[in-house]
Amino acid sequence: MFWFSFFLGFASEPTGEVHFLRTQDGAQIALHHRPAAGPPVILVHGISSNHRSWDLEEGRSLASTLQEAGRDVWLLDLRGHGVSRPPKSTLWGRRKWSVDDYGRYDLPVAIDFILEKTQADALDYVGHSMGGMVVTVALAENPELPLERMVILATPMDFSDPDVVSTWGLALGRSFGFFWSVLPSPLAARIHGRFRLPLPVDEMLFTDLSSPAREHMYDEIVSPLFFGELRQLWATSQHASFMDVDHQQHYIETLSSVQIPTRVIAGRGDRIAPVDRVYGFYDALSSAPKDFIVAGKATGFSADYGHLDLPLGDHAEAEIYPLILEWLTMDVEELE
Amino acid sequence: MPVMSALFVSFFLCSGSVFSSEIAESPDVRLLDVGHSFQGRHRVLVAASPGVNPVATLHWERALEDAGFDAWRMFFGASVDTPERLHRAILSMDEAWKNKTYSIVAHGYIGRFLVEANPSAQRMVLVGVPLGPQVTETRIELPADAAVVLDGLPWPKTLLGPLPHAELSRAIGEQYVYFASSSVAPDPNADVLLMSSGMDVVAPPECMRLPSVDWTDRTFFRVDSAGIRSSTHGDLLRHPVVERRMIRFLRTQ
Repeated sequence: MFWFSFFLGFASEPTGEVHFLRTQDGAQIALHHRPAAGPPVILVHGISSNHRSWDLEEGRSLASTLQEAGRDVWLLDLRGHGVSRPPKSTLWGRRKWSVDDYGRYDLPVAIDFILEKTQADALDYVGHSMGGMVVTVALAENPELPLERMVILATPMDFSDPDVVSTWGLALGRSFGFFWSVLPSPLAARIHGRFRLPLPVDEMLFTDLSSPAREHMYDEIVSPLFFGELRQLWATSQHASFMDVDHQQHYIETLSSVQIPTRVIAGRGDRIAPVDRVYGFYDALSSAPKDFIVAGKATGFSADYGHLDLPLGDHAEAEIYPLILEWLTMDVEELE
Repeated sequence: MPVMSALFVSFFLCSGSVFSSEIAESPDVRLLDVGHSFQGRHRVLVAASPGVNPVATLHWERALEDAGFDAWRMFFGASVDTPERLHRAILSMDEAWKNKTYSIVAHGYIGRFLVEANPSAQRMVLVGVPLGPQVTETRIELPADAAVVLDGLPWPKTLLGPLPHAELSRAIGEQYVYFASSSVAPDPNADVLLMSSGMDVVAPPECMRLPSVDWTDRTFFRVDSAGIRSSTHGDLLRHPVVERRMIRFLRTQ
């Protein structure tokens, strides 16, 4: 079913420099490289997405902006996303991988590889949505993770007062996922991108992404949803806390000991990760300095940014990328 | 404005009702029994903020009357031009109704004043009410000139959606700005339903949900969790989901 879904999704063949890395548990992850002489930065995508969410096309490419600014850019495809592959195992086994596995296996091996290649002591991190959860898991596993600065876009970390609709949506996805192990979201996305199904999908995902970039996005960045992810996120809504799959650890507690300078950006029009839920990430961080930005008209931006608008929106290159670059180029001592 | 006024008049003409007013002891506050005058039904006091035309709550009043409640409208005299007088006016309203069982439905800043006055209402429905500060700097600001009376809420009009504006005293406007930058509202005695929309610049969820997390007897509902409509501060006054939730909550025993 996994390969079937991938086939239906027509996952794009990688272009440019790509490194395939083997994780400790046997998955093969892809690390796309946009080389430059400056310090390294890794970009990690969100759920049901891939590295193209950082590099969709000209004018919608944080990767290009950072590279042109002299940063050595690395884009990660988490297992099962983009051109990465899950561990070779039974179908049942595949169902089980979760956000925990991205943070425990995928991200650490990518960081080790980058540091070895660049001979740097540390690197910067940019995560979108689930990408912020992945680094939280990784920091829970290894509090000494060599990260210099972080920029987190639209990562929810406050799950109190769960929304009925979101909870039902996750429960439904979990139920379907149980039978099929993956949801063929790439195919669904392509169909919706072409025919604009009468569903509020666009409204949920973005407010400021005009055609033809909208169709391009649906074609290129949507990856399958996996049962393990959905099960963990459903449990998160049930426990009102982002926890490991065994429900033993509240990851938000990890953030209270993080000392990495972090800028958190939320979108005013984001219905996947609303501002108050993303504020939970910022609030839990003990790192000083930290910074919280709401991208919306009421705070001086030209749009009320939705979930995908932060990396890909019509105004992201002019308004969001400079905020990311600014944080990543600030002197750490100056930040502190 | 002409449209809202026409709606206001036509509602009362079509419903065959007459204005039946009851003035509380204070000249600063007026309580108007809108629509039909229902004896023995649960009273619900509907309140709009200073700076917003009281007809703004017309749809809520109609929905409440249709649902079997006795809707009353609270509004304030021109003499209520400071936060202190507004507070006293609310207390005098509560004093006038302290022997009656009633609930409150409030939109916007007036809800904050009501919560701080902690009236004897059985239940309170707060829609778009800022209970805590904004988490980042926003575009709320008073005009630079020294005007004593402002034209509506101290936000850019384009951010508020369809909202019938009214005159607002500068002193109360300054209090609105203060609400956006500091202090958290106390937990009122009444059971509370909080409704908020992410697109409401006055009271997005971070200014409603987060400051009230520890309240007792409190229910939070995110209006646009998966909705198609983006709900600005003004949109909330005509949002069908808001009306349904409000009535369901008020009917709860």
